[in-house]
Amino acid sequence: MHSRILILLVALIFFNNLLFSQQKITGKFTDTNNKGIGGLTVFLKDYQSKDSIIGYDITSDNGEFAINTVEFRKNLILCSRSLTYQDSCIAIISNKHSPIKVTLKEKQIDIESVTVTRRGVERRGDTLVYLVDKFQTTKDLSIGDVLKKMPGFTVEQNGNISYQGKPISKLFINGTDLLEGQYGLATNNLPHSSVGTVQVIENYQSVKALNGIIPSDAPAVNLSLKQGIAFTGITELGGGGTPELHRINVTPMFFTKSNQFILSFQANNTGYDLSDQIKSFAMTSGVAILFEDEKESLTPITNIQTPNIDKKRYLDNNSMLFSFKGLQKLGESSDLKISVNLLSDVLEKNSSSTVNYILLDTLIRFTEHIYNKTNSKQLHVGTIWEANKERVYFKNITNFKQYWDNELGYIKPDSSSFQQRASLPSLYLNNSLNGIVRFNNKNFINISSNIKYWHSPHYSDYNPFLYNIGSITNDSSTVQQRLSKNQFISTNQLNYTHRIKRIAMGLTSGIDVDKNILSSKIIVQDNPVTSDSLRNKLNTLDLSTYFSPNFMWEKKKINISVDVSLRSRHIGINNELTHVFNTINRLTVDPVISIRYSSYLFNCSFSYKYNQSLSNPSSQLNGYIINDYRTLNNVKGAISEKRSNSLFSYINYKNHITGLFINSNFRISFFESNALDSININNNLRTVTSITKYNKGLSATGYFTSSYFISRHSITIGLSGIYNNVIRSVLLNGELTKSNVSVLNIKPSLSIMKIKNMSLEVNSKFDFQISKVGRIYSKYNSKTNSLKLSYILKKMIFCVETDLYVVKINGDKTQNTYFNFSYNYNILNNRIKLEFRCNNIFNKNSYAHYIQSDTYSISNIYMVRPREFYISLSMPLIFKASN
Amino acid sequence: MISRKFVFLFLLLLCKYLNIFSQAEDYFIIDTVKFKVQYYYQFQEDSTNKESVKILVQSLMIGNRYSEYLTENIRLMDSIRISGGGIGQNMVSYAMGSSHSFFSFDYIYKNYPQKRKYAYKVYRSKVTYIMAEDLTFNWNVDFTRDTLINGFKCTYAKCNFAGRNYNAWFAKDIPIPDGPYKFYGLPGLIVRIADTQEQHVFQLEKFTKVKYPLYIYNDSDENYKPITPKEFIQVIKANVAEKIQMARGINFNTPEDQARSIARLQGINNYIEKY
Repeated sequence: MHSRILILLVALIFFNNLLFSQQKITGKFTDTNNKGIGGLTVFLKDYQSKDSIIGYDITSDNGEFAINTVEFRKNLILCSRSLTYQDSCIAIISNKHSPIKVTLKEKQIDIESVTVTRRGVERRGDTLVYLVDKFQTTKDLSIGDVLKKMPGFTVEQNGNISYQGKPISKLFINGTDLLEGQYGLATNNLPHSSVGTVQVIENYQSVKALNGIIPSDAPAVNLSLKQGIAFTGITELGGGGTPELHRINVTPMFFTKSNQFILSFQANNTGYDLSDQIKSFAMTSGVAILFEDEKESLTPITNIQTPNIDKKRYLDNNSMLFSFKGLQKLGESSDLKISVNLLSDVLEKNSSSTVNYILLDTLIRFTEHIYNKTNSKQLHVGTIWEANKERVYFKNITNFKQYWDNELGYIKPDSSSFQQRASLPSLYLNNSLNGIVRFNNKNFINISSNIKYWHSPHYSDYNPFLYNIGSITNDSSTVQQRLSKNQFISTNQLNYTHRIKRIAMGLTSGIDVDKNILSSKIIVQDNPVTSDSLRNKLNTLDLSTYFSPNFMWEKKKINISVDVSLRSRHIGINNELTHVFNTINRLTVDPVISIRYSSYLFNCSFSYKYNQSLSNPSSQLNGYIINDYRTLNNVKGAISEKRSNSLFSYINYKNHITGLFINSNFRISFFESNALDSININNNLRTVTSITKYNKGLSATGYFTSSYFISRHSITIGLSGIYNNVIRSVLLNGELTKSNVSVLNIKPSLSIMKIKNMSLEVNSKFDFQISKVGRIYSKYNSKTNSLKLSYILKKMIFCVETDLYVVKINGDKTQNTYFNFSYNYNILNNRIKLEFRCNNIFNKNSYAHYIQSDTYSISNIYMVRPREFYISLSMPLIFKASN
Repeated sequence: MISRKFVFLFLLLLCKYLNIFSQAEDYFIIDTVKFKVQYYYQFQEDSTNKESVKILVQSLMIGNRYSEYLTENIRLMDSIRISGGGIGQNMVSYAMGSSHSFFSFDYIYKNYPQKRKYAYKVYRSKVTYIMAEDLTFNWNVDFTRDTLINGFKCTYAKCNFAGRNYNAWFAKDIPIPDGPYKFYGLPGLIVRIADTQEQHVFQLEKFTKVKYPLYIYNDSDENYKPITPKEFIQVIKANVAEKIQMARGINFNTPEDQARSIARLQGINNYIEKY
């Protein structure tokens, strides 16, 4: 009984408080004839902070309103707004004045008409749609030119496309993946005028059988052609002088529902790199990731570091590419793709460089003038058969590649002259198979197998070799090196995943085999050198079996995954010269845990990884091999073991309404290893070996990129930055020392699509680098500004391009400025574009740049393309289908 | 563009020839349009398929007292209606917007017949319906959150309506408490409103001050069958089922075409209101 009374009392006190804390303001708005005004917007504001609205109402037909507030406030302001009556604001005291009566005079408020131009970016479901016509300028020809200006996209100089910091997993054209990663061919030759929208599908799961079971965080891009376009492409023909210049590009493309093909013939010596168009940038197939196969040059000539500027400024080339890509639909969900690429590339590089090798408190300097000519011929033939059904996924990729590469180089360190030649042919065969069977909505099996074979019989000669080592004499005789490598790699994996509501559990097991046969010998005056320290005959086997349970839990926006990989590794190294056979067996545990959160605008992730790894035995050597005319290389000794603890996080924000896209990530890795690079320079001969010694270090990388698109003015503003810091130990002439290299790179950019008759693109880049190795401290910064200004008339465009490069090394400053001019005239209602171009107007012949590592630095003066005049006719091919 | 104009003219001539607009006297002016607001309505037709996104352009005609909201191709037909029209004209508009007909809103009169009421007139399955209810929204306005959308300074509000949660952005500087579809009652014109899953998105594209005589017409409610919004959802479902039945009975070129057509109709399941 007592408790009831107590509750009642408490309730009364509480209710009384509520009565005092809430308030209701009522009243009526009338016109001068005392008639109620309906439809007025009435605001109630706090008297103290006049901007804060605490309640509102819309008046009824007879002008009455009632506003309830959550908190009691004594002094208030009551305001009204409408289109037909004057705005009003009166101060009221809540208890005193309610109900309030306000009389308003009629007054027409003028609101200007506003037409919103379509935004450049729209969201349709989980797809972001970029309208191509919002980003294109009259000067652009291909879709690649337009992609660069779209917020969220990064198109690197080699054509690699990233979206919000992640490389894109697929590039579709009208929903079909014809290109399989080699998307440079399409982005450079598909006219933007045939593309209606660029669609970005984030978290795209390309394998239908995995939909709803395994989420994906890979973005895919679809180029949606304008309605009815079935035949498109580009044709271009151009020529010029000083020296003779030519450029031919005939690339027709054909797209229908049942088949697609791209045929391309391109040739140029104008600095346009064709090899980028046949590079595979990202290849993923469901959960199986295929290898990115780059040819290894075992005994190349002395390399010249190319400048980090626009390739077209310096690339001295004579290139030809024939490419065919075809796709035939074999049914509703399977297709066959065939790809043939034939590339011939002759490149000339010319530079004067000063290489400083850092040795504790001294620098050893080499100044050399180097001229290289490389002649590369490549044939790639590939077929892909893919079936992508709701229950079953199957994909088989077969590749054949043949390289015929030759290199010739002349080096003049002083008055003497050295010649190097290398023949670097390679054969590559690969078959990759991936199959997935989905049993129901809960479980599936995934089998993948990848087999590849490399055969590389390489040959080089040095005339003369600089130093006397072993039995090599330092007279003018030619020293030859023959190096042959046969590599067989097979990776095989079986995965079973079972999903129960929000949890997916999987088991992955596999076996990897990597077998190498390496032989090398040095021949002096036609006689092979017999010393074991100068020849190799190694047979290595790397056999790895693993078992990896994994677990994933997801709830709406949160995803947590744990993966623990147990790996047994067997390494065998058979030295056939000394008949010594070494074996290493290791059992490693590599756990990974990651947490991901994703929402409409925002997603972020955090992951931790512990990794134990052994170095690849295929990089082992018994005897030295010649790296160039003054460097010997040897990686012998124990297989290195490395342990690392890595933390990785990323934050990603995108708002298509405001046009703001932000992406940042940070990675830090603490590592320890039992192997160390030992660098020795004696009598100007540099030797690099790997020795057994415990050491530790860290590497940290931070990346930030943001872009903001202002649709009303068609402006894209971008800012990106990279920070990298590596601290590690090195052995320099036998003395252990710490190296610490920090690099900061900042890139602001501005692209104004069009203001009246002008369009403008401004890109800047600032690099700061500080390094400390032993007692040597160096500082380097560079500034790059490029500006492209176009003046656009109805049929013609005048364009000026300037690049300004400022490099400052330890206080010494060099500056390079280049100017280009172009004039474009559109003929036949924009169907044909005539371009006249003059590059490097002031005929600057070189570019000075700087490369810093922890053990050496290079100051390089690279010969760039001279002033040249060029005229071309280009025509987008666009035909609509009759139906 | 040309083909759309051609269809329009053809239908206009056809209508004139058939003299189906013989009931001009049934229509009467209820208000003069002062502002015309064009919205871009983007919706996901199939709730399970994120690719099934469609777009419609819709108009809000604001008068001194009432407003009228309708899909743009239907508004174009108003010119026919002015010259004489009746229920039959809805058939024409239906034919014009056939690809989106399930999601197009025919005529929503707000503050009609009195403040804070609406009348929604539609034509489905050869029957004309009217929904008449109160304009009541549980808006939760956050005056501290603002943003700029297409140049309009906007304030944030949220509400729950007909089975979905909505995020809205309205312009206080335009003191018109109106918006797209049935949305009403914020202290400013709604510039953008979307459900939290972004399956139904309305965004202002054009705000025009009307400087020529343009009127909001209405006709007698007597020709319309009263219905509730919940019942209307059932009508739409029945309408879709009827179309599927029809598709099953039609001889298509290939069985695949027929299956595709039926699958597309079966995917029409994500109407803006759900109960």
